[in-house]
Amino acid sequence: MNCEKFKTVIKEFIAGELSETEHEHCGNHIAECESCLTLWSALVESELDHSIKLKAGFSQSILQDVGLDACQQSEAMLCDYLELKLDPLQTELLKNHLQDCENCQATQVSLQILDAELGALAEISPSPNFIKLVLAQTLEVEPAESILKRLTGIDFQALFVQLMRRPRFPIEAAFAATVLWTSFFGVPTGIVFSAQADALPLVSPEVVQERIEDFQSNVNAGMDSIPVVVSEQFQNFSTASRSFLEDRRDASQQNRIALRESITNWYSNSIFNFSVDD
Amino acid sequence: MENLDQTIKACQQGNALAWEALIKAYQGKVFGVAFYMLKDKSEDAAQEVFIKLYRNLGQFHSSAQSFLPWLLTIARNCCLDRLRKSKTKMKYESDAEVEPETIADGIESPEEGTVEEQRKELLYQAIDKFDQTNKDILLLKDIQGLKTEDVAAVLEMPTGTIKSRSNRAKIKLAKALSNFSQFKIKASGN
Repeated sequence: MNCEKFKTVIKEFIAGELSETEHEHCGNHIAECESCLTLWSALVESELDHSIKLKAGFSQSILQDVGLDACQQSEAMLCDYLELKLDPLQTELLKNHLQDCENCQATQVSLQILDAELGALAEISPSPNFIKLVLAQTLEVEPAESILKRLTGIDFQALFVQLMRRPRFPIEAAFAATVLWTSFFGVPTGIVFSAQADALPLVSPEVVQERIEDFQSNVNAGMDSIPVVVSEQFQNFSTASRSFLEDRRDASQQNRIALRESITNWYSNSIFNFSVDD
Repeated sequence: MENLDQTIKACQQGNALAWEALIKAYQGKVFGVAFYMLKDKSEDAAQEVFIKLYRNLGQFHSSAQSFLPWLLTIARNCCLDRLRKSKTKMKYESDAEVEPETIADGIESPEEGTVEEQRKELLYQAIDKFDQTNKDILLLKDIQGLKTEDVAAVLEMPTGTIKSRSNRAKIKLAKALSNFSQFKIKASGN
């Protein structure tokens, strides 16, 4: 048998469909011809692969008949398989499935690529001056709370929040403000006393009576000598009025000072006595 | 970062060099979060994150392992605040569930830039199709690499939910992206 003849019957030879004599001739030919032996080996391997694929398809059809989906279960396990988180039995079963299932093999490869690609998104290079910008914005303005905390060792932020949450905080704040005010500026009743001091009689009744009599006599005299003496009388009246007002202002000032001194003395003594007693 | 504990303590005591080192070590991750959530104006947001970090660093007393989750929480909250003030709020905070078949719909395959840049652009477009919770899980667990327990603490969800949702989202993404040539090239290379 020559090579040409062998090639025409090679498929039947592999399938075992030749007669016994022809089969023996073909066997003797590939024992002597190396090129035909190579061709025969390649065809036999491809036939074997084909038979394996048929077998895999067969198992899939059986699984479908009984209502199971091996690919769905495989997909659910693939991520853990790639992260080596499966136990030995599950790993073995999945490997067995992957050997025969082209779809799951493709998904496995895609997942491996995806893992690498997702990892590449984790970090993005910023602009070269990014660090300088952040340093300029953070180190120039140091947070006040951290300085205070570092110097005093007290967390003022937490303390403030705790203080604000006290139920009686407004009352306590008002009391503290009152104590501070009275310590620095005294009892605010000084305004009332000053007003009362202004209202007190500032000149004696005798002086007032004398002024009135002077005014009346001046007016009478003026009426007698109108119009010759009127300007002179008016001038006298103005002088008397101005004198009256000056006297009143001096007295008012003196009374106010005296009153304030007495109140201050009283208040100082009170605080002193209170402190000693307490 | 080595000696993170000591670096943080030095920062709390006002050491400028330690603060500079801390920024240098974590600026990439903060930028990654800001770009993932905001896309543009991510530099302004990243600056704001570090200023907030500096002001609140005195309150951090936990171990070094919990520093990254804490920093990423600040970054995420800062970006969410910015999103709430902007019109792009609805885009990130969408609640719509997506199916693997629909993720690829409407994604435009980029033609400019390197293959790596094109793949990133495709990935961002595909992630944008997910609802906010899945975006957060992908960001914290699968991109930034936080532990499932830390992600659960940040998002206030059970660890089981985080794990299952992360797996489902990744499978959907992988299937959707396998349709694009930019991802097939690398697959055949492997």
